[in-house]
Amino acid sequence: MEREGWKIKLLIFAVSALVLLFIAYPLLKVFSSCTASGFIHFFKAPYFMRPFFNSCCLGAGVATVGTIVGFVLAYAVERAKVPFFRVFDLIGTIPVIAPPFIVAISSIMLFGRNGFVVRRFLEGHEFFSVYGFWGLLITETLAYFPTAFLVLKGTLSAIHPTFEEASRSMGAGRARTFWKITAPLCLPGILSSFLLLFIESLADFGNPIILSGGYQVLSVQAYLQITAVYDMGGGAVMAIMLLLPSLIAYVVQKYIVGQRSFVTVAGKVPRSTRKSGKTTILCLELFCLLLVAVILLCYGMILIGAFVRLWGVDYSFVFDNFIKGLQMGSQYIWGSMILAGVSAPITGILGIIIAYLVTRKKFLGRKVLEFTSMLAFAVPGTVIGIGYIMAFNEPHWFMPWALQGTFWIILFLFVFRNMPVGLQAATAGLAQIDVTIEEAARTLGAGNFILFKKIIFPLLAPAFFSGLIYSFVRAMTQISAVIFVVSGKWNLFTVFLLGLVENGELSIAAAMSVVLVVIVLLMMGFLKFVIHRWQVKQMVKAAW
Amino acid sequence: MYLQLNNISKRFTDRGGNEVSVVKDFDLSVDRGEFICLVGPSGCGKTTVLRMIAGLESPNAGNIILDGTEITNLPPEKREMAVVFQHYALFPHMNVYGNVAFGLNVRRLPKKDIEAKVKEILESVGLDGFEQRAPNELSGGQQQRVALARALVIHPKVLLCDEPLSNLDAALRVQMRSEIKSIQRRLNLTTVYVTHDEDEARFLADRTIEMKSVTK
Repeated sequence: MEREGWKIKLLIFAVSALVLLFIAYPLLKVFSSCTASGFIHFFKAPYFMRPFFNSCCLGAGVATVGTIVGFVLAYAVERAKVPFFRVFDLIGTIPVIAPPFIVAISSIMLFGRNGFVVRRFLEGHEFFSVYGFWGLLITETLAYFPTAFLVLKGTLSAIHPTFEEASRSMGAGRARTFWKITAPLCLPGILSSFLLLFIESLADFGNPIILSGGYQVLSVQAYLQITAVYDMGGGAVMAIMLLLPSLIAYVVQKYIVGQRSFVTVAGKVPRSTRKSGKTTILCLELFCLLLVAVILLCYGMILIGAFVRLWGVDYSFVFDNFIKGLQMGSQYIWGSMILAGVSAPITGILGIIIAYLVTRKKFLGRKVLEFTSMLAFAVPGTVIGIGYIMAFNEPHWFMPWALQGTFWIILFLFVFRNMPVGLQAATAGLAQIDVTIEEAARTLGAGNFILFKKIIFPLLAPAFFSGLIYSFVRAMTQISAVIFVVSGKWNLFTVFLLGLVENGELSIAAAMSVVLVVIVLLMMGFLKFVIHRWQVKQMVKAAW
Repeated sequence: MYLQLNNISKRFTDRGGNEVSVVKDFDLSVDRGEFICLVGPSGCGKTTVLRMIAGLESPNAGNIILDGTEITNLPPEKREMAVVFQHYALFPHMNVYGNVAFGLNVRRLPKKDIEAKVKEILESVGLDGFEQRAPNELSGGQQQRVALARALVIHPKVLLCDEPLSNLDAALRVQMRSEIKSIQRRLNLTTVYVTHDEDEARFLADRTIEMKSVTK
């Protein structure tokens, strides 16, 4: 390794300082706001302990059911290749781009007190309440099973079919092969998916704030403790009790389960032509159809609800919901679009810079920088939000402005919270680029700036754009962290949506959900188009 | 002396955390226009010496002097040398023209001059008409010619080659080495060339330096 120039050293210093200030410092602030008496209070008072147990129970439930659903769907799509598997593959990933509580809204429309099913078929009798554990379990499972699906699809596709073929040739039947060979080989993927879903459920804020009813969960209670009771210390204790299980699950997933992969084959895995048994295929097909029906029902409800005068009462077709919603919410919608638009490119570039520094440079604290940057992925949004209001509501010597209530606090929150995905994509991309390519550019006279602009960045463009798309979508759809830092001046679309649901304006909420999804889809389409143009231009011109 | 290495030493830390000495008290003097081959078994540090001349590694001790100026701590982009790598290291997102023009673009030459120089050098390595091809559309021999053209076009003070022919088949290797030799003669290029093939070294070099592994 050659010695680093002062510019690189300065960059390392600046990036580390930013990561410390906007990720580590708010978290430390949460920890330092807790007192021993606060904790004692927490463990003694049932209204503190109850949400903790509820959150963990719900998390375990969602993780279990979500992993099962994800596995069955992944097996049907990846191994059994049931009829229409391509459709199921696509449908299975739809909830990823949806706002967090879209399923909650549609389940209220169906099963709420004024819900379609409850009114029409049950004559007002709620045979079970969507408000509470079961409602939350179903909505969160529907919202988060795609994570399990994607993880397990990857696991299944990496398992060499020859293992299964060997088992069959030695006389084991289909069922025996599945239980003795395929399932055990999937175990790391299954555990991984379980832990990721547990983290996601624990962190979920949008669904429980709408649906939890009497079943209190930690993320919502911590929010109420701060915004309604004005008890910062109590909120901080709850945030930490929320953070600990998530962090443990994250560390176990990343450093223990993640390392225990059985996948040993590199390169392309041949496709097995052996089919599953007829009964198996039939069962899988039915399961997939049922799942797709439920998902389409959820999203269909939103679409229908958007054009209905007053849900539960007057089902005549109108366009008013859009007009009213857009009038009421224009400030929120613009706020979200501006902040998402500004933060997404910054997030993407920062992800690439950090990935480059931690993979290509050697410096003190490299591992710390990497870990801290990825940390935002594991920390529930509620905890980050609480950390941000505690850290930035007054000026410090190192931060001479109070950021609370400004554009900047939301921007920084978006950038540092959404960065890990771009960072991971860029790290994977850099692993594919031979170091000699950079060395060739250096010896031909390229300094750091040209190296980055002409070599690194163009080669990492796919990673950059996937980080960009992800952070734009996340910025448009997330709520748990930003709800703490929005203000009268800078407010966001999801907060507006939540307000509509809380005021019972279900039809307008549905219309605005449609608008949100359309904005996200348009933006994704636009970015895909830009990427395509970019790649064509790269090759046609001499790239200068 | 045009290029001089005085008492160069280089140590690396291996995976176990032990210091390993790769090059120890190495001296080298190269005249202007001279073709030097560094030969020796793998692991003897010849590539490391080349990388230290290029500025891709910093020596732990000793100094490097080019044309009367000390360059030991100069970053690679300021040394005006060019390296031809074993695996070519062509920029995969640029076509042949973009690859060859890269060093000239960095030096902000006028567009006309760049076009003329690229055309001339591509002709001399026998690749005229290939400007719009992407690197992955070329054969190994063609890729190596592009890498050579990319290095030559900037008129480097020293041309550094790190086993540039080892990935080519035998027949092509013989053909390419005569081409390299004739171009080097024509341009009177100072060249340091690393190889483990003694035949190749004998054919190419004005002077061959045999390196041995540092005894532990």
